[in-house]
Amino acid sequence: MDTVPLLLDGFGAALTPLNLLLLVTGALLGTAVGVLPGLGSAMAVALLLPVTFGLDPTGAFIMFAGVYYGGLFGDSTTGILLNTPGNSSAIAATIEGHRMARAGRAPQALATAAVGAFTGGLIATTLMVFFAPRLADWASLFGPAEYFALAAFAFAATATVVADSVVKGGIALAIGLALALVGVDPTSGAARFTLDQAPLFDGIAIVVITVGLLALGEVLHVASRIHREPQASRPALAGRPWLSRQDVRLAFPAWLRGTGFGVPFGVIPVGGSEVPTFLAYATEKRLDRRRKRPMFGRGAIQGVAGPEAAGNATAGSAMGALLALGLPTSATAAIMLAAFQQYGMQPGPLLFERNGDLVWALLASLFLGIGVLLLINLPFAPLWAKLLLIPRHYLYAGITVCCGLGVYATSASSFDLVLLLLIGLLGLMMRRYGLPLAPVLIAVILGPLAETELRRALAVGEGDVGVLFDSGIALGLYGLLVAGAVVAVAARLRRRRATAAAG
Amino acid sequence: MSATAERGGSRPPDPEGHEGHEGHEGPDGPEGPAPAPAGRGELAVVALLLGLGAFLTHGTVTMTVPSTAGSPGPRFFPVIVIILTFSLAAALAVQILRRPRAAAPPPADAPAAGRPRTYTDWRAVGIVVAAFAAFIVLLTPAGWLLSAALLFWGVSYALDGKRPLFDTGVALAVSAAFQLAFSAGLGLDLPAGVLEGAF
Repeated sequence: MDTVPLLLDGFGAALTPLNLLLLVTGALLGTAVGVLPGLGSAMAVALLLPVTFGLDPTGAFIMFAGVYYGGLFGDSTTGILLNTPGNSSAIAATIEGHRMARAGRAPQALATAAVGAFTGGLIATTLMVFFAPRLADWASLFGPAEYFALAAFAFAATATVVADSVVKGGIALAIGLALALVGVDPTSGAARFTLDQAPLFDGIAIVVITVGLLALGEVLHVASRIHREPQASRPALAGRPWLSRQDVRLAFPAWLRGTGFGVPFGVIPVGGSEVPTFLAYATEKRLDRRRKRPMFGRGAIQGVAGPEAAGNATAGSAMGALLALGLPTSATAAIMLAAFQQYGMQPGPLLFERNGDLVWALLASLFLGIGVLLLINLPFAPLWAKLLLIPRHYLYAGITVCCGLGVYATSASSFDLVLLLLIGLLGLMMRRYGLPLAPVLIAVILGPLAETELRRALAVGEGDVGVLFDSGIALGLYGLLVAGAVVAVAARLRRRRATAAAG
Repeated sequence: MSATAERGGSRPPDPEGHEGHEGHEGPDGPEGPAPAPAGRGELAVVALLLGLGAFLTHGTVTMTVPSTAGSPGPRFFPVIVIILTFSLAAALAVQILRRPRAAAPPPADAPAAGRPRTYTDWRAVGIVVAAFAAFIVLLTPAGWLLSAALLFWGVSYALDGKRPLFDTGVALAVSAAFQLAFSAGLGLDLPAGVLEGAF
C-alpha cells in the first residue's frame, strides 16, 4: 500500500498559503452559489473555468474542489429555512428539514445537514482515495471498444435517468452530440459543420457551451418568469446549532445509511445526486414508520441526515470515477473534466501516472475542503441565508457580466460572445420545455471520445460490429447499463410514491 | 397538501408574494427539470430538432472528405447523430400529439383577468438579449467599463430593477470592480475603448 505516503505528499502540496487561500475562496464561493436558489456548483465551476486560466493547474483544481463540495453544503440551507432548495440535490432533505425549521428547530436541521454533508463527503473521499488507483489500474486494460462502451454507458444512463422522460433526455443528448461535431474532425482532417467560419474550425469551446447553457441560460430563464412567479420570502431565525444527545442518536445511523446510498451512485452516471438522496429519504421514512411515535411529517431529523449524507457521498465517489475512469457522472463532474482538458490533461488510468502530483494534491484538497466547509457552514449557516437579501436583479445582472467576462477573457473574440448568446437562448428553450441540461454537457465532453474510439474499434475490426462486444469489460458495462436502468426505473417509481406520500 | 407534490406541475402564481409552504419544489436548478408546460407549445422543440437534423444532413452531404480519410470516415458519426435527431423528433411529436389537449391547461397559459398573458415573459427576455447584443457590439469600440455597465444595467432593468438612476451607479461600480480585479489581480487585459488613456 503506497497510498498513504502519496496522499501525505498531496497534503504537502496542497498546504501552501496560496493554495489554502484558493481552497477557502472556492469553499466560500461554492457555499454561496449553493445557497442561492437556481445556482449550483456546476454553474460556479463553469464561470470559474475561464477565470482560473491564469493559475497553475494545481491551484485551479484546489479551488474547484472547494466549489464542488461547497455547492452541496450550501444547497440545503435555504431549502431548510425557506423551503426553496438551492439545487435539485437538496429537495429530499428539504421536505423534513423545512418542517423542522417551522417547528422551531432550524438550527438543529442546519447542523444535521452540515454534519451529514461532512460525513458523506469524508467517507466517500476516503474510499475513493484507496480505490481510485485500483480502478485506474483496471481501466488501463481498456481498448477502443471498452472506451466506447463506457461513453455509450454514460450517454444512455444520463439520458434515461435525468429527465422526466427518456425522449427528453435523448433530445438533450442529441443536441450535445451535434454541438460536439462542429469543427475539424481530428481523425481525417475534414471540416465539419463549420459554415466556413474560421473560429469554428477548433470546435465550439466547452467554456462557451457550459457558461451559455448553465449561467446565461439561467439568467434568461429567470427573466422569462420574473413576472410569473412569486418572490421568496425573507429568512428569519436565530439560535445555536447544537444537537442534543437524542438528536445525534437518531441522526448518526441515518448519516451512515445515507452515505451507503450515495457512494455507489457516484460511480454510475445518473446525472447527480437526485436518485440517491430520494432513496435515502424513502429508507429513513420507512424505518421511521416502525417506531412507536413516527417523526416523519413533523420534522424528522433522520429525514435531513440521510439525504444530505447521500448527496455528498455521491459527489465524493463521482470524483473518483472522474479521476480513475475519465467518466463524468454529473453535470459538475462533466465541467471538471472540461477543466482537466483545458489544462491538457485527460482523466483516466494514465492520469495517476502522468500527473500524479496534481491528482494527489487534488485528493488531499478534497479532504481539506470538506473540513473547511464544515467550519464555515456549521456555525454560520444562518448567516449564509442572508445572501438571499441580495436583490435578485443585481445578482443576475452580476452573473450576466461574469458570463461575458469569462468567455471574453479566454478567447478575446466577439464571435465566441455571439455563440454564447445563442447557446444561452438554447438553454432558455431547454429549461422552458423541461429538457435536462446534464446530458448535453456529458455528450459535448464525451462525444469526441465516443466517436474516435468507435471509429478506431470499427477500423480494427474492419467494419465488423462484433468487435464492440468482443470483450468481457465491454459486455460487463453493457450489462451494468441494463441493470442500472432497471434499478433507476424502480427507484424513480418509488421516489414518485415517496414524494406523493410526503406531500 | 398534495397539489404541488407532483414534480413538474406548474406553480400557481401567489399574489401574497411568498413561496408556498406545502410543496417542496425548488426553482429549476441547472440539473433539475423545469416544469413542463402542457399543450402544444412543445412542438417548438420538434421544430428545433427537425432544423438541427436538416442542418446536419446538409452539412454531411456537402462535406469535403479528404481522400486520405480511412473507413469509417468523418461522415460516419454525424449520420448516427442525424438518425438519432430525426427519430427523437418523431417520438416527441407523437408524444405531444397523443396527449389529450384539454387535460391540463397550465394556469399561466389560461390566466385570470389581470394576470400576465403568456407563460414566457418575452419582454424581459428581449431586454436581456438586447443588452447582451449591445455588449458584444460595443465591447471593442466603447470599452469594457461602459459596455459591461450597460449590460449590468440592462439585465437589472429587465429583472424589475425599480431605481434606474441608482442602478446606473451600481452598474458602473460593478463593471469598474471587475476591470480592476482583472487587470490588477490577474493581469488580463480588457478593452479600454473610448476611455483609452483615461486611466
